[in-house]
Amino acid sequence: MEPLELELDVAALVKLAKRPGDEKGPCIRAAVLADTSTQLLTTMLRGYARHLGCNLELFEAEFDQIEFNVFDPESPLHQFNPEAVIIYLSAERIAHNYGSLSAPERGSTCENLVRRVAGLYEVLSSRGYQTIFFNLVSPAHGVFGNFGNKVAWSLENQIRRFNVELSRLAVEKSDFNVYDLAALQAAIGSATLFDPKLYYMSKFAIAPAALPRVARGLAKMLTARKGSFIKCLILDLDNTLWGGVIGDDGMDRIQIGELGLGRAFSAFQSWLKLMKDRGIVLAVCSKNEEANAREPFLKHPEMVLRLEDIAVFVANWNDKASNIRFIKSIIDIDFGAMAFLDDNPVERQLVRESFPGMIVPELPEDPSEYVTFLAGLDLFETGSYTAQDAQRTVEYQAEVKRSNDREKFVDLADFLRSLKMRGAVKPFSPFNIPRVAQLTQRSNQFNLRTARYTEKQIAEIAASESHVAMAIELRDKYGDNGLISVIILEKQAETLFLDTWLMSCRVLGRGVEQFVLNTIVKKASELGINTICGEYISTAKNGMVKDHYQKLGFQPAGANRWTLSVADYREYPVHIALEAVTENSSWQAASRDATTEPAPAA
Amino acid sequence: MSDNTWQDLTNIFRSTLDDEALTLSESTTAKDVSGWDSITHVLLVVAVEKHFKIKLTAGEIQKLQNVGELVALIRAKKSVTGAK
Repeated sequence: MEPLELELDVAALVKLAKRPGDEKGPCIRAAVLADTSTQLLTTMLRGYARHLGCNLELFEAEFDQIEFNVFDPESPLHQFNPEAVIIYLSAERIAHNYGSLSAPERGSTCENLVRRVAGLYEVLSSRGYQTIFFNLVSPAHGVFGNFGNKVAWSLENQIRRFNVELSRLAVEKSDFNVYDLAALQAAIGSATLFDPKLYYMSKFAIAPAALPRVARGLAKMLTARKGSFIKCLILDLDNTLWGGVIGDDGMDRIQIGELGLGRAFSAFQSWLKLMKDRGIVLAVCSKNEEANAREPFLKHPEMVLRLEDIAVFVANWNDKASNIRFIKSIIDIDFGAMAFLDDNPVERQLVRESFPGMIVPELPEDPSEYVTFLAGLDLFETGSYTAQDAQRTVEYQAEVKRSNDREKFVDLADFLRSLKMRGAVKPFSPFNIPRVAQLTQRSNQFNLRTARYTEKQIAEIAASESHVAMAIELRDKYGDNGLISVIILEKQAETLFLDTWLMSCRVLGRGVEQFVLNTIVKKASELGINTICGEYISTAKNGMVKDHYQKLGFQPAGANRWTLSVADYREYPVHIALEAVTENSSWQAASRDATTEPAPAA
Repeated sequence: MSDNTWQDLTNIFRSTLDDEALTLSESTTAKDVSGWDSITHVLLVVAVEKHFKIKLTAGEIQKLQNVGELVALIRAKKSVTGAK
């Protein structure tokens, strides 16, 4: 990926849009419908998707043909069959007509628009498309000045109320999303976002200079469901999380809170804490004595971040590249999903050169600007958020402990036995559907077919008679790993086809694959099916599983397909005990019931 | 007084229309240049405003008959703002 500066250049994006696609990249089918001119926006969107390494197939509706495309079942939109539909209703159109409306009509603008949006959404949702609606900018009519807030039918009031309603729909409906154009207007200002002469001349409601930013936001929303988004922030300490150098200045002279520039750093820490609560993992990578580096986290009263907020804490005198490799061994994600934040341009350049996929923003010199700068990079789009995201840090901390303890065992089998692992195999249920869907969207590496599913689709699979679904959870003496593998089996004639086999890389090398296969074969046997069929679909990121089926004893069956005979199968010995859990029971209840001992190793 | 307007404008056209061999004359119009459509027209306006640090009004843009008139307009605007 090019340095971030490239991302905002109109000419560069137009050129990128013309480049041919990359076969191994993820493919997204999206549609854009609007009541203003969208040609330049869609070009920028194509260019930006190319920049992200995605193949974007884009359907652009004819100008002002939104209702036709949505409501006519034979329309070009439905024939195109997108995954996501972007609808841009412009504030400018509303503002343009406002003067001609009667007072009661003006007063029902918000209500009418909400009804219009709901109507469009119902149809699109029923066809399984994700929807992305732009919210409205404020055209600053200023007819009443600030008094406009006291007038129900002022344009500003109607538009703001509409935006609130849009957010309400977004909270309620899992497939309803908002592209926050109003937030962009707040960030860059009307003067940059809107050029009136271009609107009147060519119906461009967004000035070309601002389009790359819109394209970036949309592209990231679209690709977030394809597994590409930031999962980890690696943080330097000195002059990044606090002012000064802890080794030299000591606890009482580093600047956090009210001392010196401290407020800027406290604000930055506070923002990072929000990131952590959101499920983005924080890691520390600092050149310091470990004890010195930890001290502020433990003892400084004005630190916002504490040790428990940091998933992996690395402070030593090794080079940062080696330390980052260690961090990656714990948090096994793509470098492209990691961002490195360090005030030192030399360290940043070193990391950029060592890990070309990693995101290394050029932090501004003034720490006061850290938050606004980072927030403005559109780095943090996501396709999902579940309650379990907040647990991720705790899970990684347990992983660090496991990793450190592994050093003490000579024999892998001994180590695995010592973990006292217990696995639970659960059906899909409202308790785990969001998390299952999220995992299908996030998982890139240990993923045999990279089939991406929305919550709605997972619910359909759960209810389907012709599918067998398994959500596998793993727990050991260090803690609960939560959901670590998803299996979706489809009954096809005399075989059980593995539509989905994905696993969290965190639990590699523990026998989970064998445990899962034992379970699948047992299920097949219960159903009276003798053949299990698997498929490997190669992507840029899942090379690690190309021999997965071969290693598990499947036979090649041509064209990336593999089969296993249930009758000939011998159960793999594993160090994971199968929990007898029902769908709704908690782990505590299960551990009281558990009776199975781990099978002995071969 | 030396003035780079023609050269700068030619570069802008070449970059926007993605044609390094493009040449402009006083009488060139949109019809004469392949790829000069309504979208590239907007991109040209934006690029000209940005490069020469001037603002063109809708009326001025609408009145332009050919590239020669555009050059004259740019020069006139630059001398008003004092921009180089």
